[in-house]
Amino acid sequence: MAIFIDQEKCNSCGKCVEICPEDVLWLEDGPAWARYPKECWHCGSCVYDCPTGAIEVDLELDVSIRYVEF
Amino acid sequence: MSDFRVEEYSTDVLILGGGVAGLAAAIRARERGAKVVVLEKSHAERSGNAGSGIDHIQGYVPEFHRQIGYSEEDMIEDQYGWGGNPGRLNRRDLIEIFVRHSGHDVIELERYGLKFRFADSKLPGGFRVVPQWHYVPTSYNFEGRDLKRALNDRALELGAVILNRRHVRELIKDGPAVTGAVALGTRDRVVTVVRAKTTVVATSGITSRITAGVTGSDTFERFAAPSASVGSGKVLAAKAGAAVVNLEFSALGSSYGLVNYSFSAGLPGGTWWPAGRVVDENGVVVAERRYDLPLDDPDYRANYRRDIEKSGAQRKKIVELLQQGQVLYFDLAEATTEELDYIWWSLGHEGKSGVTKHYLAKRQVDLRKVKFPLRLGARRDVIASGVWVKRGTTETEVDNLYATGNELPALGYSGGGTALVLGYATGVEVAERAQTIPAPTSDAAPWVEALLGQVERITATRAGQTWQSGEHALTTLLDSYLGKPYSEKNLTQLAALLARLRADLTLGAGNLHELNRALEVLDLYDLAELVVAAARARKSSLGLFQRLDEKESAPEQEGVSVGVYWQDGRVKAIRLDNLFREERGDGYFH
Ligand SMILES: Cc1cc2nc3c(=O)[nH]c(=O)nc-3n(C[C@H](O)[C@H](O)[C@H](O)COP(=O)(O)OP(=O)(O)OC[C@H]3O[C@@H](n4cnc5c(N)ncnc54)[C@H](O)[C@@H]3O)c2cc1C
Ligand code: SF4
Ligand code: SF4
Repeated sequence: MAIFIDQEKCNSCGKCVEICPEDVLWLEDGPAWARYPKECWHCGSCVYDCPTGAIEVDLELDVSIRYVEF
Repeated sequence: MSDFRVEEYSTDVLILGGGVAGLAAAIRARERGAKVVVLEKSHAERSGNAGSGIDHIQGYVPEFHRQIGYSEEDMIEDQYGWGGNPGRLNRRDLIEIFVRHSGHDVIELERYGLKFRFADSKLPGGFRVVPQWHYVPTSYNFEGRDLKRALNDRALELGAVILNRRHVRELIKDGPAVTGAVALGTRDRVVTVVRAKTTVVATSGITSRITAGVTGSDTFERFAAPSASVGSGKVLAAKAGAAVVNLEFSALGSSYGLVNYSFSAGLPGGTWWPAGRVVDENGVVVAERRYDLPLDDPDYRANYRRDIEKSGAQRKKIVELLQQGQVLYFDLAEATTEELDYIWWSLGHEGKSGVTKHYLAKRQVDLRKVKFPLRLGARRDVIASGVWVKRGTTETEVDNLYATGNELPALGYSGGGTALVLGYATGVEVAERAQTIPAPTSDAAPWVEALLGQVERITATRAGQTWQSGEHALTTLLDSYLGKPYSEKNLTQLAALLARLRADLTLGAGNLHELNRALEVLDLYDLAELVVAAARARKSSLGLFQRLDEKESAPEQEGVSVGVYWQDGRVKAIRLDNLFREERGDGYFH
């Protein structure tokens, strides 16, 4: 699960749901939630556009950039 | 399923896809007074490949280029020769339109509030220009995170009608002409019918969802925007009878990239330019970092060219070493603090690399202290592919149907710059054309019924296969054949397996979201049929297109594109000449 929506910070404005290009996010009664998290493209748009800074998108283990420390 | 509401519009210009090019076309067409409707599958503010931003954009940079002595002709020559497209697959006519307008069109973005000038720049105009891999340095680095929003707002301000969450499924045809399109809502149970004097496909041209994603673990983790990577514009155009060229997946050798990561970040020589270098496990430098050349260097052009040639040779060497089993790393140990700041800034504007930036920052990764392993990756691109347009225009060979942005073929380098500039050019063309055409009154019923029939079949099959399973089966099959040298025998085998798989496909869907995904998967199967037909049709072995059963081709095959389209339910193939040396040749296949 790579999308975290802070349930306290979310004011249910719907912006993230409106713009998410992959139709991942949903809003019913209450805060927004990720209904189709495996379809997230990690584009970051919801993070940029959320007015309350409630969303964090992190790369999942299976898709994260790999690096080594020497 | 008959509970779908039908809504109808009529317009001068209909644009399919509200990406960079679609919005650019909408802006210019509105500026010229045409009525414009845009059908967008996602939401035009953040949709498509540039949805969350691009950090560089190509164009002729008058102030800078004139000082060095680069002319528009130099840039045209460079773009024409580029793209790893031996066999002259590039379309010089389209590249000329791009370069000649780019000097004006790209910097016009400043008017929409996007930042292009920086106090620390040493270049005339205050620009940041990165060379990437071109002989004429042509990429402005800029603050493009909100490019899509800026274009969307401008198009709305000018009065364009943008209908979001409308997945275009059918083109309406009336005799030889396209007269509009039919779309399915992705959030509402609605079928949208738009009748239009002119119709523009602008869905990005990307087809990457017919092969596995780079990490192999997730359908959706890939470089390009998943919703815009099913090639639906190509499928729509080909069904309307417009040829789609160079669709076969090439057998081009290897490239390299970061492990488990969908971008190469232009290593070295792109976003992370110029500080990146490549080292082996003992820290021995295999590819050196680069440095900016002083602008007052009288030999700037020659030295710059040498620099690019050197980095090209280094790229080759990296591939060779990896092929020999060497362990190599991308490394930023020599980056200065200012360069690191630059890299972080740049990452924050290039789409999903903003998430990578967040990931690295959260782990407090010091970019100078870590190394990123490099691995070989096979390239399975569709090279130079696109919807064929007539010489010097963006008009297809089907009446009143246009293609634009990255939907166009053979641009050498398809990116945000070409999408923007050619999108603008199309907007001008279609607004003018629309003035000469009466409003169509075509009967849309057959197309609406076809769509609803498809919808019915999928939703009636609740216990059917999931769209994910349908997509996975296809990518697995294609990955075992495409991107490798092939012969008629194994292509025939692939065609038979594909037909079999398609016959076994009974996709189901439990809701509107799944239904739209299932429809995307159907596009992928249609696209696969075109790709295989295109590979079979090319009866030559040249450059990127290697067949085991054809001898290296004669030079007259240079510049030949193979086009495919449907006619009466069958795929037809034709031969088209990028150099326009002769008229199109029919009957290349079947
Ligand atoms: C991560 C990333 C970073 C990039 N960085 C850069 C960069 O820094 N510089 C650069 O120059 N280029 C960059 N590019 C490339 C650039 O984004 C594309 O070249 C550009 O967006 C192409 O524009 P387009 O209008 O042709 O397609 P897109 O902008 O992709 O738009 C296509 C639109 O069509 C819509 N669509 C698709 N199918 C349908 C359908 N059936 N019905 C309705 N709508 C549909 C999509 O939702 C989308 O909005 C980057 C690409 C990616 C993926
Ligand atoms: S990162 Fe992009 S795709 Fe993922 S939920 Fe946010 S807006 Fe949607
Ligand atoms: S944009 Fe932010 S505040 Fe608005 S619904 Fe989404 S998470 Fe909640």
